[in-house]
Amino acid sequence: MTMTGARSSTRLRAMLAPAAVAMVGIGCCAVVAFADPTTPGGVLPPCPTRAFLGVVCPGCGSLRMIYGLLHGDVGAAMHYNAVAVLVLPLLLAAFVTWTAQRWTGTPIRGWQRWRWAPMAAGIVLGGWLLVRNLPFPPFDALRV
Amino acid sequence: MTNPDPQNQQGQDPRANPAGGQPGYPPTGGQPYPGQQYPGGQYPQQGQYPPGQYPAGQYGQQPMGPYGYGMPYGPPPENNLVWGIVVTVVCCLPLGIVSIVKANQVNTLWAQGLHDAARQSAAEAKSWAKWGAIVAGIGLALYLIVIIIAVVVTGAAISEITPVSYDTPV
Repeated sequence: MTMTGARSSTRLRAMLAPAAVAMVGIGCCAVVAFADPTTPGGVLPPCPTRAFLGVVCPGCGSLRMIYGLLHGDVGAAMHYNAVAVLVLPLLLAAFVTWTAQRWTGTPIRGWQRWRWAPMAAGIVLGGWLLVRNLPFPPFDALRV
Repeated sequence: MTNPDPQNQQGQDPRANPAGGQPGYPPTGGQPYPGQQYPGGQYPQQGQYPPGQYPAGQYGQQPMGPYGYGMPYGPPPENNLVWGIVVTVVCCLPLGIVSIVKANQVNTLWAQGLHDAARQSAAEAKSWAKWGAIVAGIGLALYLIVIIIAVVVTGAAISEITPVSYDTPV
């Protein structure tokens, strides 16, 4: 009985970090939904990399992408940052496995620990940075 | 044989023999296996850990099953790849890329049997991601201060104070 109580309190404490991450995520979504980054001159400032260097980084357009998703407009979301749309489910999956790992106390091998996952992530993000900054069609449409 | 990784000291099976007592397995800091010999480098499914063991020892766990890639020591340590990706996409690109490269090294070194080097790379991946986040946080704070001074104090638009704006084709 005491053992079960100790175990469930350990479990509750292990859930604090996932709860904090979830709340930060929901808070960010709420701010984005409220501030509308798709309209220039809003509260949310443009990406500093884009504003000062003129380089469209792999994450540029992510806020507008999230705004599009929050309004159910997948097309607009893909337009602003297609790779970030694809990365989002992976991040959610990593969050789920991490939370489940903390809940059960059993190591769970998520996608991030697959053999070629880091290599694939590096190639996709590096390639995305390159492709987005090519100054001719059809790639110039990717500068958002 | 002393284990160089303090993480490995936690979460170990108390029945475990010292690594030196395992003929046929190089004592490179891997998890010793309690009193059993498995043929062919493959290991059957181990018993599940009871709740509450996490986060006692991510690196010191017994193998969970017969993974491929010649990894008789079980899965590689946590490579902190998600942090590298988040830092790359959200904040500070160069440091995040280094973190992803280090995360890749974790898997490569582990597959080669260089377990200490793999743990070292995992720690470095975490460290690069952490510094990327710190640098990005400082940069973002400075950026917000500049914007607040410019926009609120002088009344200029953001597009006037930055070289490039959304309206300008780059």
